[in-house]
Parts: sequence; structure tokens; C-alpha cells
Amino acid sequence: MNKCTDSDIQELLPDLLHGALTEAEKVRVDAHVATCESCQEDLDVLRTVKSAAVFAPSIDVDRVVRQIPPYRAIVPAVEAPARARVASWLVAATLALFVVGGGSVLMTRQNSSGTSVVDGGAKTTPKIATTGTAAPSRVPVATPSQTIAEPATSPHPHALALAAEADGLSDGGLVQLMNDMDTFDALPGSEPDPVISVDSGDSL
Amino acid sequence: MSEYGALDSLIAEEAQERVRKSLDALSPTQREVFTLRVQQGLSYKEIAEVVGSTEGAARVHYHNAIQTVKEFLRDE
Repeated sequence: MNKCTDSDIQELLPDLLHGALTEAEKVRVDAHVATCESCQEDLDVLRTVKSAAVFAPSIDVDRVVRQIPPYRAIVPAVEAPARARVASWLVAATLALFVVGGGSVLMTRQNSSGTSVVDGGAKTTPKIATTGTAAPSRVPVATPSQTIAEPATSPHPHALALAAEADGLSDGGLVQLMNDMDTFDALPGSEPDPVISVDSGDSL
Repeated sequence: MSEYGALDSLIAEEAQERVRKSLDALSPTQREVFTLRVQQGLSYKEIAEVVGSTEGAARVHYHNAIQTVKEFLRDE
């Protein structure tokens, strides 16, 4: 058997098995193999090896490990986003705490200031009434002169007003007043009489 | 399994054993280049990238491997 000298055709034989040749290359290889016993033998060997498929390519673990990027080069790229996320969550939580806490403090201060204003108003009112130098106050002051004067100007006759006017009455007037007071009812006249309905059962 | 099926299986096992022995006769680099070229159908350029060598060196390894395997199977 003569040894084939066409190395190009020999190198294309595996591609012929896998159908990886162009149409022109396939025609050229087929034409050569048809007349070359060495290439026919090579093609038979290749078919046998291909169909056997008993050997898995050895894996050079050391070379694969060398191709892996250094560990330190990968870790920062992975950890940086995680730290950024944690930091953003912390910032968000802090802001939320400030907003909620500040709002509650403001509400508390507003409530306390409102009560102080009411108290202050209540405290200032007697001061204005006692001084009497500014605008006249309508708050009654317990002075004897006003106590006597107000019933005189009041348009409504009242028992207290009558009692206040009793100082100016004569003895006969006082006796008449006492007699009138004896006739006063214990209950006001406008009090409605109690109505008690008794069901006798005749309506049934 | 039929009689013909059992015979085919036996022939296949024998062929696999012969090919395994022929590949064991190769150097590690020759075996890797040869199997990548024949069984996986990779080009010489791809094989060179896989094995970390040049395309010309992959061609040389392939030629040496097929000559060794052919002689081994011929002598069997």
C-alpha cells in the first residue's frame, strides 16, 4: 500500500465524517479517497474510532484551574453590591425612623402647646378682670357695689334680686315678701306632671 | 435481546476494546488532539485553543496519532 502524500486531504478526512465540508471540498475529498487506498484505510480507522467513542478527552485540571480568575478579583465585584444594598437599607431605615420619631415629637409638642394656651387664657382672664384698666370685662367681679348695682339694671325679676332689694323695703314690705315666699311652690310650675299609664287589659 | 443483537453487542464491545488499546498507545497530548478531532469534530484551530497549543502543532499531533492507531489496529 502506497502512503498518501496529500496531507491536505488527510487532514480533511475527519471533517468528511462529521459532514463539515463544503460541497466543493466534499467532491474533491471523495474523488481522492476513491483512488487512494491509504486514505480509505485512514477513513475506516476514523469510522471505527468515531463509532467506538470509548475515550473521553482527558481534562487537564491544572490548566483549567489556571484559567479561573483569581478569587480576590471576583469577591469585590460580588460583595460590593451586597454592601451597597445593606447600606441603602440602613439609610432608608434611619430616614424612616427620623420621620416617624420627628412626627411624633412634633405632634406631642403641638398637643402640649395647645393645652398651655388654654391654661394661659384661663389665667389671663382674671388678671384683666382684676386690673380693670384696659377694656372693660364682662366677667363678674365679687365687689359689693356691682353686686348691688347689677340686679337693679337686670330686666328680669329674680328671687335673688328680690332678696337684694329687701334692704330697701319697709317692715310691712318685708312681711308681705315673707308671706309671698311661703306661697312659693317647692317645684317649679313648668315641671310636667308625671303621667303613669295603667294598662287595665280591657283593650284586648 | 436476539441472537443477532447479542452478536452485534459483542462485536461492538470488541471494537471498543481495540480502539481503547490503540488510544492507550498514544501520548496524552496525541490522545487529546486525536479524540477531539475524530470524535468531537473540532477544527485544528479549536483544538489548539483547547489544548493550549498552536494549530500547526495540533496537525502534527493528529498525523502522528492516526499513524500510531492505524498501525496498532493493523497488527491486532
